[in-house]
Formats: sequence, C-alpha cells, structure tokens
Amino acid sequence: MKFIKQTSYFKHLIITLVTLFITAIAFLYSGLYSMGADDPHYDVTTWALETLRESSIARASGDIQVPTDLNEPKRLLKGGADYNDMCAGCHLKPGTNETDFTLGLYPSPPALTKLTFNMSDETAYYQRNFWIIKHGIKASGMPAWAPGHDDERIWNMVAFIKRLPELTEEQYQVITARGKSSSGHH
Amino acid sequence: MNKKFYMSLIALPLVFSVMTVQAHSEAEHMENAEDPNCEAMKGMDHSKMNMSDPVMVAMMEQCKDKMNDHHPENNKSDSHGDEGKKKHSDQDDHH
Ligand code: HEC
Repeated sequence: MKFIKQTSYFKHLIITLVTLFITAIAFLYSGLYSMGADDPHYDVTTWALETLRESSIARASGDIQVPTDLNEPKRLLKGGADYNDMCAGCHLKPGTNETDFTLGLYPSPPALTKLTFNMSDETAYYQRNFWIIKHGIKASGMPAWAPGHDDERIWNMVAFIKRLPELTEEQYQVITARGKSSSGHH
Repeated sequence: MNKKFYMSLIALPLVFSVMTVQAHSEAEHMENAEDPNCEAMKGMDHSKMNMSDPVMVAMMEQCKDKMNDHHPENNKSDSHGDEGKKKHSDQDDHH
C-alpha cells in the first residue's frame, strides 16, 4: 500500500518536472522574452543577478594579492591616463553626469566618480575592483581588460579609482593628461 | 532567436570596447594626448595643499616642467598669455 503511494508520488513529480522543462524550452524559442536593454528586469531578477555577481566575484577574488604600494603617486598618473582613455566614456569623469553609454547600457555603468569607498574591508575592495577590471562582467557592458593590459596597469587603475571621487575637474585634468611634450611618464 | 541574436549579444560589447580602446599600448594613446593644464594648479591655495598626499604629489610631478618654465618674477613681462594665466594674476592682486 505504502509502496504504491510512493511510486505515484514520484510519477507526479517527474511529470511536473518534465512539463516545467518543456515549458522553459518552449519559452526560449517562443520569442516572448523582451531582450531590449531599455526594458528593465523584474526586481527579483535584478536581485538574483546581483547576488550571483557579488558572490561569484567575492569567491573568485578572495586570494588576489594586493600590492602594498597602491598609494604611489606614479600609479595614480599611469592609472589616471589609462582611465581617461579607456573608462571615462562609460564611468564618467568629474564634471560629466552622463554619456550615451550611461544612458543606454543596461545594467548602467556606475559613476565611478561618485562611488566612494564604503566597504569595511579595504583589501576586499581592492581585490573586487582588480578582478572586475581584469575579467569584466558577463552579459553587461563591462569588458575584460586582461587582454592587452598586464596586472600592473590594472592595479594602477584600481589605485586611481580609489581617489577618483575626491578629484576636482582641474585635478582630474592634470593627473590624467598624458602630455604631448612632457617627458614624465610613458 | 537564433544565432544572429546571440551573435549581437557578443558583438555589441566588443564593438563598444573596440571603440573606446582602439589602442592597447600606452604609446599608442599618445596620439591624441592632452597637456596637463598646470595653470589651474597655480591658482590653487598652496597653504591648503597637503604635500604628502599622493594626489598632490602626482600633480606636482605632472607640472614640474611647466612650473620651472615660469619664473614668478617674469610673470608680468613674459608673453605666455593664456586664459589660465589671467585667472592666476587676478588672484595675485588680492594678496
Ligand atoms: C562599454 C562600457 C564600459 C567600459 C568602457 C568600462 N566599463 Fe566598467 N562597467 C561597465 C558596466 C556596465 C558595469 C556594471 C556591470 C554590472 O552592473 O553588472 C561596470 C562595472 C565596473 C566596475 C564595478 C563597479 C562597482 O563597484 O560595482 C568597475 C570597478 C569598473 N567597471 C571599472 C572599469 C574600468 C577601470 C574601465 C576601463 C579600463 C571600465 N570599467 C570600462 C561598463 C564599462
């Protein structure tokens, strides 16, 4: 008696799972999902994706060795020049509040000019930013910069980003300018 | 839904990154390099600057060549007249 009940329970379970699976596949092919970047996720989807992102990055970046000389002015200069060339279009610079990228990308690139350091753990903050810049973020506009850029260059940008929110427009200009004529840094 | 769609999912970020990067090496970035606007720095209140702050040191480093060109005693007579300079001498008058 008990045995019969159990088999019918499993039968129902399997039928339900198979139906769900087929529905999911049918949905993928139906074209009903709205893929536009201008059509935001449900809150629950956003929550799920952000939780996935943060847990993944925290786990992957936990062992990264943070250099001890991130406060070196030289790093700010190199990182600043690279930031201005490669990142400001999406992540802004002092004095700009939006670009086509901040308006159009979804998820929208955060304004790194406003994102002040607010993690209690400074090491984790550095590790997270380094990992994100090096590997990028899947299915977002954030590229991986490892191809073509060695770790040192990435650390320079990590160092620069930490100070970026405090910079005035003038300070930003002086620090990020590569200088046609200056023999300073290359 | 289909290959085309997935391709664009991959291609779009690629296009963006290529547009913003274009050059990988630092040397290649030099083509449209800007000079640091060091005149702006001269107008700053030096007494409020913290000389041990890396941001400050980095700015001094960027401007050290410029700073040496402009000998303060020549300020009135030399011909490097540009807008940054004007701002600077306005402030000088208040000292
Ligand atoms: C094409 C646009 C684009 C460019 C160029 C770009 N990013 Fe991003 N970046 C993004 C987007 C979009 C996100 C957010 C992804 C997300 O929310 O999942 C992001 C996220 C980040 C984050 C994480 C911010 C946080 O705290 O959540 C950092 C750090 C970052 N980018 C650094 C950089 C640096 C450094 C560069 C230049 C080397 C750069 N990005 C270039 C689009 C861009």
